[in-house]
Amino acid sequence: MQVTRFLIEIRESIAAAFRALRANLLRSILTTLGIVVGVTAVIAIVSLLHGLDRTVKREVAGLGTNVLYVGKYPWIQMDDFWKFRNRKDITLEQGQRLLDLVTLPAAASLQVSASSTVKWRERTARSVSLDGHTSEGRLVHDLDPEFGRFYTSLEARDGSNVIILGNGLWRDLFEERDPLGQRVRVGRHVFTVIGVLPEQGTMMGMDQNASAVIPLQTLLKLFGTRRSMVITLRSPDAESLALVEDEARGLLRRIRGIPFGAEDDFAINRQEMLLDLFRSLTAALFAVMIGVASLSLLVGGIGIMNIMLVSVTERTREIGIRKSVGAKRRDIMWQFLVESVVVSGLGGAIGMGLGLAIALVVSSVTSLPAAAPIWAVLLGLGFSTSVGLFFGIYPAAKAAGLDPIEALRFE
Amino acid sequence: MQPIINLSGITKEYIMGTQIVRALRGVDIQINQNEYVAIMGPSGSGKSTLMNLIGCLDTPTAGTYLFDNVSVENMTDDELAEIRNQKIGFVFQTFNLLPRADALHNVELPLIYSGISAGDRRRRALEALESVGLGDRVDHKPNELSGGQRQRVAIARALVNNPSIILADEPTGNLDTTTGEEIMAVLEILFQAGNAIILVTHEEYIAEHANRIVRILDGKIGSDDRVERRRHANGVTAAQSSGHQ
Ligand SMILES: Nc1ncnc2c1ncn2[C@@H]1O[C@H](COP(=O)(O)OP(=O)(O)OP(=O)(O)O)[C@@H](O)[C@H]1O
Ligand SMILES: [Mg+2]
Repeated sequence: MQVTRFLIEIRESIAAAFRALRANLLRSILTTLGIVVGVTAVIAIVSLLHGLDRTVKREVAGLGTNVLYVGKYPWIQMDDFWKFRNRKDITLEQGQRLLDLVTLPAAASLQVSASSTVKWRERTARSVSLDGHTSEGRLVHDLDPEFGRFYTSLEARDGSNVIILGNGLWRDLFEERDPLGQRVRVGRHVFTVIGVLPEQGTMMGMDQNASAVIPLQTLLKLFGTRRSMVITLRSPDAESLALVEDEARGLLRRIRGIPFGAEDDFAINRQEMLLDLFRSLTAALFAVMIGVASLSLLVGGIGIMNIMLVSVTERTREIGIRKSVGAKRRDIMWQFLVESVVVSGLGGAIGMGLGLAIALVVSSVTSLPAAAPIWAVLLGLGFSTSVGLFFGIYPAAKAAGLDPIEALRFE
Repeated sequence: MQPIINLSGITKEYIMGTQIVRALRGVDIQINQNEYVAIMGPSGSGKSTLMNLIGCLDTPTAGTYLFDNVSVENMTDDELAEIRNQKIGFVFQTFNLLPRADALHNVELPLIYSGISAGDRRRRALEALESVGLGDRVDHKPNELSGGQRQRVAIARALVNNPSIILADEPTGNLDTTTGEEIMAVLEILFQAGNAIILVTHEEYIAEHANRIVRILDGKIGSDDRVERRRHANGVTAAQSSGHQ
């Protein structure tokens, strides 16, 4: 009985709230502006960050969790670029010696990249990224072909003209026809297709599907040897990563003859560094967003309180009438609380729509993906309604405490 | 027979800055279930103040008030609200309807606050509106109704929860004589149905409907006479009279 009575009264509160809203539609919408802005900011920023986060994680994941990239340049360059440029290249011999000496990695390989056109019959793919790997590259980078095969260590050593196409490149050139054994032209040279890699994502902004893999020796032979090597080391597990790094650092310092106490003249990179950088960037953005959002929600809340106080004054007589026919304090309290929650929830909903729209527009213009996680939507609604609830309490209590006679007599 | 309303030594004072306004200075009155009381007196004599106290809209400064043998002067706001909701029907000079709600919703209002389900509410509100002759105006808002019709909506609202007593503070004060007569006819039906009626009026011909006339002077009861009802609202029923408009 108590519960049904409560439900009946709440229904009346909601109906009364909507009647009041309809009567002052424009005013209600203007009132929620602060909340709209706050929720818009939250939803837009969260959607974009969330989308960005997923992309970055996916791309960085392509680098491999347990893989170290030893090269001339650090991925994150806080210092002067020229300092890194002036470093001596890591030569093939140095790379080879490091590979011979390391004991801890599960697999280790050398790689360099070049770029060239690839042609098959009348079809041409331009600026294809050619990755030259030693034969161990297959293990380090999970380069098992979807069909066909990887090159043998013999082919790798001899520098054979064999090529493994990225999935997208294969589609572009062969339109899904069987490419195995076909001859393609890479720049001025003829290669035999021996495999096709599985579908992959992009990695650090480069579409892996559009690239191709050839033996390192072949790449150096045909496209020139004056390149700095990247040595890639796969650690057997996450725990040994630091040990693998220490070993490689010590060996490479010796190989390159760095005196004791001098700085490394190479960099050991790993996926984790990029993620850390990205995390600190997003944390900063989040902090800004929380600042903007709380400020506008506060402003919005005060706006709501203000308009609710106006509403209570305007409807003093109505309150008197309701009380005179038996409305209790809590009935009036609920009515105005519901109204303020509905107003602010409405603002929240509008803000949510706007925020998503902004995120979608930004993502279509910049190719950044946008995805609103469900928790952000709930957060937006939750925040806006809590603001309504909180800032509605004072006006509602004021309404509930009115003396019926004075309220009825109010002009 | 126990009086349904029993006031003794009731005073009501308002403090206006440094001044104390004594609106009621010791009122004793008992009213029974079968009475039709007209309260008269000059403007400012305290009639509305008394009605508000009787209607549990206000509490006295001093004195005791037994409503249906229950002492109300120390009740909380919510307990008073409960009594207003269950036992009392109020009719005001200025109608006091919710402007944005239609007639039906206005009449349903007391039922909402007694927790009656939507279906029952609607049925009872329709019944009440029909009994005051407004069965065909249920979806009209107050500003789409004439003064007399508005007052009848207010009466329907007052009677919809089957109160023991109807309080009407100058219910015809804002209406012309003919319309006023129609309102009196509706009250007549309520009286015949067994409700106690307390009515404030300045008009002698309105007071002639009552079987007891109480005159207030300066916050005190000047005279209190049981009278022969000299006037009965003409035999026309409310439903018929609405047809003439
Ligand atoms: N809220 C209030 N504050 C101060 N004084 C009040 C208040 N309400 C009523 N009074 C005073 O109490 C006295 C009685 O007022 P009340 O409204 O009861 O008169 P009334 O008999 O109903 O007059 P009328 O016939 O004009 O309606 C008046 O002097 C009035 O000024
Ligand atoms: Mg009065």
